[in-house]
Amino acid sequence: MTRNKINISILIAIIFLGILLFIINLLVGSVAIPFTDLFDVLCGKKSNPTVATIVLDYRLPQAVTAIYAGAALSVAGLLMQTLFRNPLADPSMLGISSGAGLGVAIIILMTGVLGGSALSTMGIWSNLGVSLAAFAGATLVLMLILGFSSRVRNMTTLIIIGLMISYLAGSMTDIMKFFSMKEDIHAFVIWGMGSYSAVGTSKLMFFSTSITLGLFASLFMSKNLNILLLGDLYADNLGLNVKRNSIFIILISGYLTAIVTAYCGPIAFLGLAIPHMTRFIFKTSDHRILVPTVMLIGMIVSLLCNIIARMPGLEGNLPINAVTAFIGAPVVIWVILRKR
Amino acid sequence: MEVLKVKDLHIGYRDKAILPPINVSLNEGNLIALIGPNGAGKSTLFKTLTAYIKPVSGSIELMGKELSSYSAKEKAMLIGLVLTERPDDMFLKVYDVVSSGRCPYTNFFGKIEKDDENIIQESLEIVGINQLKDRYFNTLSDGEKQKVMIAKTLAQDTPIIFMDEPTAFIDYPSKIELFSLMKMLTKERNKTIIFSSHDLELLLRYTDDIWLISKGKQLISAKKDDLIGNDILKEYFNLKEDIKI
Amino acid sequence: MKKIILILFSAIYMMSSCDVVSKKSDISENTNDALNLVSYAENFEIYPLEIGYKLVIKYLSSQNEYYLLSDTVSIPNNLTDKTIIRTPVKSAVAFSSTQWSVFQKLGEIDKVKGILESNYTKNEDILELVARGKITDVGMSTNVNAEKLINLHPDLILYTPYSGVDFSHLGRLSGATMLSFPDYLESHPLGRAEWMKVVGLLCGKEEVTNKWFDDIVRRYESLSDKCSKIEDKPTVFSDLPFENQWYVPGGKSYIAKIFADAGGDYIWKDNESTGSLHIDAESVLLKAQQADFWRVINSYDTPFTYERLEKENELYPLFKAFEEKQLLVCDVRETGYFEKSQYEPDILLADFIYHFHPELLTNEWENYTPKYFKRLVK
Repeated sequence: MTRNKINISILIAIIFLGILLFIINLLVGSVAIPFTDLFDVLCGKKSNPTVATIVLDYRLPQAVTAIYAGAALSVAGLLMQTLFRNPLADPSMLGISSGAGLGVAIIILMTGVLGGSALSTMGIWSNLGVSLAAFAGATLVLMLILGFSSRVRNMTTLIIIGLMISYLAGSMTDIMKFFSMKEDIHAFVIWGMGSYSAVGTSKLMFFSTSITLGLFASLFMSKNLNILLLGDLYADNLGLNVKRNSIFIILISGYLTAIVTAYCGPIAFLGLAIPHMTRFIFKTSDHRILVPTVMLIGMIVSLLCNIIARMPGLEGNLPINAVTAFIGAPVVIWVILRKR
Repeated sequence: MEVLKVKDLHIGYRDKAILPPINVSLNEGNLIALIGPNGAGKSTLFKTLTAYIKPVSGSIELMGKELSSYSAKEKAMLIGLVLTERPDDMFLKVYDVVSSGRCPYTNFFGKIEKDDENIIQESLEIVGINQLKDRYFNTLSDGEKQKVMIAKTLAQDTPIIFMDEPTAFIDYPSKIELFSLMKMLTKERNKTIIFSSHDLELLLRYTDDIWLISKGKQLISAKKDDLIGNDILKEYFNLKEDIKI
Repeated sequence: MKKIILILFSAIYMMSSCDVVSKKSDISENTNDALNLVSYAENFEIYPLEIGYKLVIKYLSSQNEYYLLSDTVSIPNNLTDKTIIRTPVKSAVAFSSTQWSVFQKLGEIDKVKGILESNYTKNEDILELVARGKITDVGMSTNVNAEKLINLHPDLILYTPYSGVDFSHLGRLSGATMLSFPDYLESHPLGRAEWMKVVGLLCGKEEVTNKWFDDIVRRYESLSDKCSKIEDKPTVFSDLPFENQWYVPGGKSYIAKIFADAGGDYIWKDNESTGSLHIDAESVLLKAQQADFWRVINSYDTPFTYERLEKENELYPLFKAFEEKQLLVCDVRETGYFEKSQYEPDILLADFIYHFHPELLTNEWENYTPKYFKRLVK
């Protein structure tokens, strides 16, 4: 019972930390904005229009994107780890991120090669084009994985298949890059670094709604995820349709990853590290607690990464991918060592 | 009351039967041991009887109704299962494992109501692991883990329980404890328990009926007393030496 | 003739109205090709209007139109929904050095408030302006720092468009007009140089850039005319591998055109690409081993020597041009190659003629010493 009390105190502390990090996100950036100015902007008082633009049109959508992306990737990672009962499972491992990358490579590089219809000429469609291509690539890999999952009972085999699909998509991407003009690789480089600023106010509504749907769906999976912890045979005996359930979990997880990857690029390690961090913080395997807390911790770490990426001292923004890997990789190593 | 009635059952994988047709029936409150060498088809028989895999042919009647006509949830309320495989998760608590037995009865979010809580508590007490309930499952001994899995199955509140080699990997005192627990569950709680085991000496002491299974042979259901003092076991399993019971 | 009639007509009209400056009536547009003031560049067009210019920028299949109006005239009714750029531009952000270098050359660098990748330039005046905070570095083309850019309040952002990269949000956030500047797509050296006219227009100094450009064309064409009759053409190839990958200019590229115009025989001249080609080392060896000249760009801080290059890649000594010390090296740091050479195609051409056919540099080119590409002696 004391554990519950501890968890509630941790939860409250974490929520406060989250609010603090959100405010720091609005406060920190290349352009120094005093706290009083930020306060004025947030209260809707008359203020310097530049400050208002930077805070409301640039930093705010970026912070909100960070929150949604962090929650989505972390939950996707949790679902995969429970489904595969493998601490190293995450959606990128199943090749979903690589699939998205291949989609982007195809649309960017092919349109470049074909000329005539280059993406950036499509105005608003160009970013949407990249997102759609990433989503299509991710969905394609997802479908492949689902196809295999109905044939393959063994989860480890499925992970190996996922890894191989991942390599395949990666090598196809490299081949496409090889045959492209130097100038066309530009967009791919930008996409590959990952960024929370690409969503922007205009697409934020769609982005957040799609992710919210996926997050809701994952909340409904809590009970089934708990049963899955016992193993497939026990789960089946307890009345769970294991195969159908696996498909749902892969779908939700893949859907969340595909959306985030489409808009923000392949963001590594959040999906892998956050579920481990959450389990260690709350010392539980109960998904009724884990699913919402993983979302919360995911949001917070994502906000933290975004702050680090935009530290005023660092001229120009660091790619978000570098920061998430820097924070995520040691966490994963620590978890694996502690597990022994 | 007849709990289980198996008629002309062929078990196997992908339409390939591995044993001659099986015909057995069971009344409630019985403790049945399934014995036979590894690879004879014990696992396949268990998986078929618990509806994890489909029979090649034949019928399995459970509580007077064809097994395949039950929904997944109904089956979960009829058949409990204890396996040799154990959940492996760092932060899974004993209470979490036992309460998962309530899964077929709880709502969409798995909310534990007062009734569920009572049954979970009772199950923990029957098995005698109440003091372990806040421990992490992974930190328990094999014998304790086995008890937790049995408590989970009791919480599932099913008339029939299948146990796959429940006495494997545990020490002798624990084995005796386990056999008397199974005996008590069948006699006092009216459960029907079918378990597989290699502990011949002990199981002969506690069980009611024994099912003999061997590669390619007809499954035989025998009364314990019939086995004592004759050569049925020796003949069935093609043994060279006599078995002294 | 049409133009004169238009001017006459508008003059009459102006006389009849009381206030000349607040003239709000429609103006006529004529985008007849004959009126296009651009002769070599393929990706932009300039049309004179009664009260300014219409600038059309093409990038692959898209086309953007900008109306450049002096800030003293009011916007005519029929242009209110068009993209208007007020000239001379007061504050601009220039993504590419080929953009800000023209501002600099025109003495208008104070209009440039932000640039990208200042760490790549060796231009000391620019570096000093960056150090003094007169120019802000707003990041890299792959990672533009939107906050710094918004904070500069530019009127105009000159950007280099790339396939699949959308910069439009920067315009939305900063309120600046986005002007696409795909100068790198021009495959004719004079076409690339002609982009100076765009900056000239923006600065209200179109006469200056027109004059510069006409001089460049005259010099370039007189030089290339001389070379066109040459029979004996030395073979030439270009570029060092980058991380063991050989990227060489395509056969229809800007570099290939300069080689040809300088009376050189570019070994990949039959290739149809206007961009860069990715070629494996074996094919490079096969085709380029016996080439007479090797054009190389040195972007490093230290000068090249044959000894140093040999240490870098043991394939180099296999090339005839390397063994015979016929490397034509451009020191980027010393020459400002990337920002300046685009606007001096005549000089670039003369550089190669100096090496290929020195006897052809006569008259005004007597005693010419190469500016960008010098033969590496040791």
